[in-house]
Amino acid sequence: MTHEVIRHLLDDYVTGELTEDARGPVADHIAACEICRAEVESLKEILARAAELPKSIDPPADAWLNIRAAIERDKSAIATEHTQLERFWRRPYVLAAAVVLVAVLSSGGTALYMNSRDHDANSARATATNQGTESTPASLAAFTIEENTYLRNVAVLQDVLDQQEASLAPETVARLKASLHTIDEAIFEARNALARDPANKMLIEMLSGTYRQKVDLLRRTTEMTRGS
Amino acid sequence: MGAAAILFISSPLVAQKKVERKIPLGMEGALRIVNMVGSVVVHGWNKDTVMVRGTLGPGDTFFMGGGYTGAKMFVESANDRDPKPTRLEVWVPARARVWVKTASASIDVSDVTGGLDLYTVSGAIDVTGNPHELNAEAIDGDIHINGSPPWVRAKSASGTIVFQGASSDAAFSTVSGAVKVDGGVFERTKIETVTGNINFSGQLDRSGAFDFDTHSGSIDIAIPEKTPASFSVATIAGAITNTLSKTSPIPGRFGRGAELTTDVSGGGAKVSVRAFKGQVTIRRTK
Repeated sequence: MTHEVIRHLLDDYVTGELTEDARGPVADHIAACEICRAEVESLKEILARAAELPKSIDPPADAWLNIRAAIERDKSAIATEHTQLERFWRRPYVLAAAVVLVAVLSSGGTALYMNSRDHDANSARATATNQGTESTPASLAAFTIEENTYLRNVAVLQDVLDQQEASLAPETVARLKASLHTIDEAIFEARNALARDPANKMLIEMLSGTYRQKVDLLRRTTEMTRGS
Repeated sequence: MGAAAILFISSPLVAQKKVERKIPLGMEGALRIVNMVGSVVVHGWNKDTVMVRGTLGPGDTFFMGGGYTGAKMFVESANDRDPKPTRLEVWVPARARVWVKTASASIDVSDVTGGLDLYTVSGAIDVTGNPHELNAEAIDGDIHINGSPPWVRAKSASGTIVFQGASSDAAFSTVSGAVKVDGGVFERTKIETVTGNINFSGQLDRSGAFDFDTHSGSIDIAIPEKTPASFSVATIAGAITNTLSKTSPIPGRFGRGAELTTDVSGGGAKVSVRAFKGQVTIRRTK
């Protein structure tokens, strides 16, 4: 079995679902392949950490008060923080670590997600509409904080995608770039409109939704180009 | 995959171009299929067996294995840089949960009533029937669904999404691709695009909630006469046309956009429509 084939079996190997006849060749390959060995270690770590997680966590009673206070504090510090964060994320070792983290979380997350859904095909799914349920930033200050998170996620995912670009057909890459450009233009227009009307909650929500679409498109593309 | 141990059977068929295999799989078992180039056709049937027939690309290798609760099949290309098309036709237990992933291969599924998770980069996805849950994602492929899955999600970037049927919980999302929804009763529906046009023609459940969002695509919503619904429509720069009720849109904040709040037939289904600069039309079904 080749490296490409064995990649498809690593999740079953880690969860002990491979039978002995398949386990032997996979174990031999892992012993000789640094990439697969690292993937196995990551999957084991994620499974171990996931097993330790509580089923649910209740937020403290004063959580919202603290969040609001933090938003107010951050409002004045955003400009400074933004610059510092940009410097931080530009450091090569930080970027490399983030790329690995996204890749590992994506792989482990997919494995856990698929396994959980295999066990329970009727597991609860989120409902379609966001009326009253989906969190959207309530103010420009809150949105600005969220925007920084989006920009960081976009940068990390874009970097991962750049590394995987060779595995996509050139015409797909062209269409993907066109889609990202379309989203960027929409963000630019909405951002300008928001600068003229900072209190417009609808604009904040729409802009936030467009960022979400960009992150989602990048995430989906990186997951699809990584193998199963 | 699944709680039970998987018996993995590698079945290399290096010299062969045709493949035909059968393995047992429970009526509600899980099946994963990976085939990057070519096509994957899946049929649901009332047997606790997975059967596959296919034509492999030259030099490609087919692998299939699993147990009664879960199985997987995939194709290893002889040349990853220039993969040749492999065509797989697969029969699965109708209530099985089926997961398919391709690069440019098309995915065509019919008569599966279990769950479907379908992923492709540039292939087309075509689903006929009433899967219990349907998640279909493409990057630039078109998605065509003809049926009434109670729970459905479809996403594409530049591909078109066409849904003909009904659903109690539906969400469709594109960047530039158009979204066309045409059919029966909908309860919770969310459609969002960036520049793609949205066309919705269907019946709204009185207690339902509906969200339509676009940046610059047009939104056309057509509902039957006397449908109880409460509309909240707003644009930043686009025009609103309302022929459902006598209420006229009022100018928006910038003077270019518009806003409209109106109840039809006493109000009911909550319909939220938001466009940055797209045109919005709400009207009766023709």
